[in-house]
Amino acid sequence: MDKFEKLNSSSSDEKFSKDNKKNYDIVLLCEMSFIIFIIFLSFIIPDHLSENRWDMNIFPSATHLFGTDDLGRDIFFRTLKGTKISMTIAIFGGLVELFIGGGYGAIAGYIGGKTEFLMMRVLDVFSSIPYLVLVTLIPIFLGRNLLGITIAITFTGWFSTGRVIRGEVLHLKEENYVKASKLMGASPFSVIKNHIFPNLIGVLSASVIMNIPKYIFAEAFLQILGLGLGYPNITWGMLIAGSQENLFFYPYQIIFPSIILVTVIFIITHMGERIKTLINGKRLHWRGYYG
Amino acid sequence: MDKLLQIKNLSVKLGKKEVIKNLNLDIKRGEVVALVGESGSGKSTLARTIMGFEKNIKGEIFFKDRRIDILNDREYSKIRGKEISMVFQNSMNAFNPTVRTGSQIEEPLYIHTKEKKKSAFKKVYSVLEKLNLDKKRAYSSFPHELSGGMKQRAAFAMGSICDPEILILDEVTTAIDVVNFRTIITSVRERKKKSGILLITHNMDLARTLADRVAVIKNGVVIEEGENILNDPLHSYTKLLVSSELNISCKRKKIEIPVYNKTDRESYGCPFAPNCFEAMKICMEEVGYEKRINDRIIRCWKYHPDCSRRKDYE
Repeated sequence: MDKFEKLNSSSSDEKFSKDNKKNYDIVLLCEMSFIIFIIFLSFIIPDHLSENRWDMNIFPSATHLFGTDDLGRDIFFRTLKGTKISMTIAIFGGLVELFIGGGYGAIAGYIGGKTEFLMMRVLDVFSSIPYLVLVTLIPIFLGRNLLGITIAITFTGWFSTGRVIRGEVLHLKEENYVKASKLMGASPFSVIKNHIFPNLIGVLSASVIMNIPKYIFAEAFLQILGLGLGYPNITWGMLIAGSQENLFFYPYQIIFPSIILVTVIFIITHMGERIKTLINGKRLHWRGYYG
Repeated sequence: MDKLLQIKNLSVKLGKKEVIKNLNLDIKRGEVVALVGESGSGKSTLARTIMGFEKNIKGEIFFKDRRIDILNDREYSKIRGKEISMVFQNSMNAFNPTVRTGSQIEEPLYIHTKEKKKSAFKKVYSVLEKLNLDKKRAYSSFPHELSGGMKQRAAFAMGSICDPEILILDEVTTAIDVVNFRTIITSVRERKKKSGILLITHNMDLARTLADRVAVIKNGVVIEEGENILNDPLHSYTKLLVSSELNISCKRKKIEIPVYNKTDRESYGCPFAPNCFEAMKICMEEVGYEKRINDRIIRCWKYHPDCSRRKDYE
């Protein structure tokens, strides 16, 4: 009997199970932890760090990694500090997309009929207003503070997510399991909770993460136009906009913040792509394309 | 035996085409009725009508002496899945790919009986065990992790979890191997004691082994209905159906039908008339004469008492 028992629990089985569990992405994990790390740093760094009137416009060195600006402030620390507001606006935009965009699209898609038609036409009307007009007008009413700028930037941002989610829900509504659940008399809430939401997680997360760079860039863009936040705040856009006049004499003052901005935008876009392929791969697997 | 389901003079239209014409069928408690016929003959439409999906219908459907064809969607949804349930043809696609199989199987229980999680869980386990499934694995894995046959049996479990009084099985054995075929047969037989079952199938052997009564349907008309008709067919369409079966090694008595007479003419009467070797003039104009021979119903003009006397039929 002992021989048979040993055969059944052989080591080859364990190898198989290890292979099966390997469905995480190490690159994605590194990227995610990098983003979270810089956001964390930006929150713990004190506000006025290494400010020295006599160290103006110093070239990058070991003491000042990115050099200093014309008021003698260390650009490396200012860039890190700028992460706080830039990423806050971006993540807030992502959350708005997730909840308002996703919710609006899901409701429109699920109810269907005249309600959906009306809701989508409202979206069309709002999205026909030029972006720049909204972005300049809203801060006039709400003031050029963090709240005003955030709302101005995120007001139009969730339209595309709303449309994508509505399309996805329209498609899901025709699936057999949703129909069956409805016809058996399940309440709309339980249908959405059990059948529609689990299918939307993938699309939603990919769409939201892919759109976060849009908000980072929009904030920087507004600063460069001179429509951005006021003075005491530090953002990446402000660093870039503020050192424009020194471009010919001290180019490192504008290059380093720009490099950080571009890198973060690239990393987040890449993250979105990776999440998308991961989920699409799983989807194909579910549909039975891979074994 | 009391009649669970009675269908009287049912006609169903899909678009402009009348798919089911004046159909009469009863299902009693403790009985398996098999519906046999070629594809496109209206078998699945009949099943969908009983479940209340088709709206453009004429005639009456009674479930336990209660007329159900006039119910609205909300009233119907209380019966669906609880008292009348169905396992669909493409039940492999019935599962949500993002939800675990077990919680999908219990869902009808939560909707209809407001059962608590623990008792529902026990019930699902017992049902899965009866179907010869690895209950822990089938309960806690996603649908794509199960094999085709396992998924099919899980779909069977999902359809029959509320102990429905009428269970409609639409092609349940399409993707199932011989061993699990037997499992399904035994579980259907066990379920038969409490309820009536409508079995829709192409598989004549399944109909022979399981069914107490077989109805042969062609273009929405029940052509022949009775207990032992597949072994002893009388209507020429049933003869064609039985003789078209593949029986290479079986020593079953082979029924020879003369020629399969192929024409493109459209018939307003007996649906088999254009292809029937023995067709008469009247066959093309009116649906066959209904003849009853010991619990068996045949619709054919050949059995009309005047048939041999009249000459203008020929």
